[in-house]
Amino acid sequence: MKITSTAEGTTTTLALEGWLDSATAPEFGAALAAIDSSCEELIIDLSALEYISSAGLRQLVVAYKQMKGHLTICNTTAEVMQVFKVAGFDKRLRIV
Amino acid sequence: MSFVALIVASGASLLLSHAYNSADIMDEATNIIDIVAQEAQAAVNGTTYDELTSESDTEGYDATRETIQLVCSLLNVRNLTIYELNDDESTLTCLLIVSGDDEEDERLQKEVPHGFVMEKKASQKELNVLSGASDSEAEITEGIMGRNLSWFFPVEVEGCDDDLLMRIDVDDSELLGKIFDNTLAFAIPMIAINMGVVVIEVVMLRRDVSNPLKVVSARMRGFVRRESSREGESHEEPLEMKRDDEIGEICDSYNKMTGDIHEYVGQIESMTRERVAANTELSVARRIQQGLVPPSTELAGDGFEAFASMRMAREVGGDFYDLSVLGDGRLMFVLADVSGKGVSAALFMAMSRTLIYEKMRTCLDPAKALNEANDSIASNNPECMFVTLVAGLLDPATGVITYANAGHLAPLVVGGEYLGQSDGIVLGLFEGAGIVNETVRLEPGEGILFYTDGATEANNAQADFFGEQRLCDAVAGASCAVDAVHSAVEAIDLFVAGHEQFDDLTLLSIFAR
Repeated sequence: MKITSTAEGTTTTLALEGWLDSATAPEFGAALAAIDSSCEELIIDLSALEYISSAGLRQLVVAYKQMKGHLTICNTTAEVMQVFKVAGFDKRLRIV
Repeated sequence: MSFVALIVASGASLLLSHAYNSADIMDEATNIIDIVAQEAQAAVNGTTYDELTSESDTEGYDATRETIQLVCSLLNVRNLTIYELNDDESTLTCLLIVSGDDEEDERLQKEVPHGFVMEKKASQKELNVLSGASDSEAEITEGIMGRNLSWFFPVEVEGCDDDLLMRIDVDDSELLGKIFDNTLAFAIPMIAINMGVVVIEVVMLRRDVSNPLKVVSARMRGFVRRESSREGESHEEPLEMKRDDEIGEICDSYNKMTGDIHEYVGQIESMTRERVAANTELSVARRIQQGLVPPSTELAGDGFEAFASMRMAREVGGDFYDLSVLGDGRLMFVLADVSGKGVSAALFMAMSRTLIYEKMRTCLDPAKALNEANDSIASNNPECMFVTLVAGLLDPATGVITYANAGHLAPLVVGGEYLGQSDGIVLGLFEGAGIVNETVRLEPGEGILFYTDGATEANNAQADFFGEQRLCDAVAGASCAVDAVHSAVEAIDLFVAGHEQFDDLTLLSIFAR
């Protein structure tokens, strides 16, 4: 799992690469915890994410609650999008 | 270090004493020869060159010879010769020769005539002495009576402008023997002293090195045995040796090492105790969980038969299922997958299972039961844990299954296709999930399969997923619920080929009859 964090003004972008499962979810959690408190909008770029497990979904909800809803998920691949749809995440999270 | 220095010093003193002795005895010999030379010169002063060279013995010559012979005899000189080098530089003329040995002297007096000329090239030493250079060094020469040490001196004589030469021979072996005797006399006590020093050194070595090392070594040998049999916290007494040298350092290191080992052993012991305690609690958790969710359940009733099986990937897992017949003859089923794994997932599973089960039994409407359970969990869920599940009821009279799907994988019609993805959302995260009921009708002989992602996402060593298509194919020929579940499990096991799985595998199948 590779996580790239870039901050631009009050917007932070986290780009995830590889697998987001129970083994790598703590890394993602650490990256979330490291986000500056001045951040008002979080963008999670999933263009290079190959797989997401339930532990990964949970971590996305943690991010959603941490940002009080100011979370956008973008560039989701078809495989990951299918998981979001099964879980119903597409109805509650902003996925573009 | 000090022992080596002592041994070297004693060896060196022995050698030095020998060298000193040799030099001493040579000095003494040179002094005596000087006296001989002086006495001989004094005796020669009583004669003249003419008398020395004349063929017949004169009174002056005889007196001189007698004096010199007496000196030689007294001072143990083997021969004394006064001679002159001839102008041809290859012969010399012997003018006077005496021997310290009386018999030999008599022979010489008879046999060696005055002015005896002998062929001998002048040596560099003789030339040096004649030219006035002081040269008191002895030279080793070969004479009739054996090897000599010879000294050379110039001799002044009345009636001759040039100096004559005097050669004084001393028995070489006699002198060397004296040196040897003296050395031996000196060496024996030296050797004795050296032996004494060595004995003292050995004793010191035993006392200061060997014995302390034996003590340390004995302590080391017994350490592990004592450490493992020791009870409680007491650490063994440190090794006491008040020394500043290497032995002292070894003792300090030993004490440090035993202290460290004692500390580490203590840590390992407490870690082991904690591990054992944790394992005990985990196995208790597993037993409780197995009480809630048995590894497999088979149910058959009027118009249906159902089978469910669950295999945990870890000690305690996050999947669960429920299969039971309600009072009105309907079959109630639940199949769920809690996010995460391990103890936290198991706790959340136990809580959500109880909640969902009770809701299902009381309201008999799957969608309503799940929405209520969802709101209840979501109102207080700081850890953002969630559960995906399908829960439903089969009416055996009609073969109609009414089910609600909370973010779970779509069910599969055995020998047919996957049912369309529902509109639900995972349970526990967002209040007001809006989960709705769906229905599917099973004709007698038809079956349906519910599963967790432990099936579709089972992976082999090449990291390929088992996938939906393989699952669909695996159960296509199944004619009953047990058959469908077993076929799926066998196909998955064949696919992963022993590759370790990190997700629970739960399957539930219902067939209408």
